[in-house]
Amino acid sequence: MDINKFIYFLLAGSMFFLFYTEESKVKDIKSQERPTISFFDSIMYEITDKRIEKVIQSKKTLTYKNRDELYDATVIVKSNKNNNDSTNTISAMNILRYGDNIYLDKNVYLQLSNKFNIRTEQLEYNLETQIAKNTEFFEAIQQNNRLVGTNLYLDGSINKITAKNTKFKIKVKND
Amino acid sequence: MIKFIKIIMIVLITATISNAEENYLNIDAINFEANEKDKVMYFKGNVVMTKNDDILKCQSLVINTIISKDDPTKQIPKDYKATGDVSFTLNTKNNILHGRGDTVLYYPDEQKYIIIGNGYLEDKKDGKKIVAHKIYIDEKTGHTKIDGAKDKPVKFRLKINNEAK
Repeated sequence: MDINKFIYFLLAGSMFFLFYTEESKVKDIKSQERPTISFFDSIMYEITDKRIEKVIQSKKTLTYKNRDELYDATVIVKSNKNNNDSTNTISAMNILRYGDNIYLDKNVYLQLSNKFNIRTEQLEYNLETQIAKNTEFFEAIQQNNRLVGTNLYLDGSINKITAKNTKFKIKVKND
Repeated sequence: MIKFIKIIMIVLITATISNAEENYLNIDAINFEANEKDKVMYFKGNVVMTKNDDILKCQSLVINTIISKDDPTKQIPKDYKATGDVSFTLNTKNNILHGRGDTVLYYPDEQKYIIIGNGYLEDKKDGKKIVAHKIYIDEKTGHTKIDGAKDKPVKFRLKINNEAK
């Protein structure tokens, strides 16, 4: 009699876990977000009453509630902080944007108004603070100076840069 | 055929001139930091600085920069301060110098080097060796000034030619 009870208990338990897992999968699929807007081969402008603040060109843009996904895209950001006009250009194959935070992946190119040009395969950049950082190999060129290394940290607002495993090449006067 | 040789000659001469005009300083380091506001560059950890055949090795290198007179958008090195196991090889017009010290300062405009602390300088051409607390080298004039410390007198060693005896 006890064995029967035990078998029923096992059956009931396994049925419960089977349906619970299936239901979770259904819930996951339901909860998968769909983009609110999709753009293909588009150019978008973010315009204020004073100027064009951003120009976003992409092969494909998916706009979700809290983020934007851009593919093969270039973002041009114009600002006028402290009456200083600046234009920063960001491009990459994959761009994920959460507010001011941008995560760039594959063929990343960042051109800052202070003439800093950075090429890498992965980069995080904040539009507001102008801080760029990564953990991978990068190449930064400013005027005739070339810096390569890893673990880049660049504060574009104060032009402070740190990096690891660096090779720096600077043009100097002839002796 | 003569035209072809002329073209080759022009290309070779142009390449030689452009190479002669370009002069680059290469610096390898584990850590790098630069701050445009303070106009300073810091290199730390296994620092190797090379320019043509000149080489300097140290643990820490600080380069102060100034705005270039020729191009105000550019910053150029004003002075260099190398510290920690500093050693260098310097190719002057007529000589090769090997040096060591605790700290080495270099002023590119004046082409002056100062070795401070446990200074050692070897002149490869004449075989002269100097051990002193402070050694000043003027690359332009070829003048070398040596200072000893309180408990560390200057040591000077000359290579003597046996055949002259």
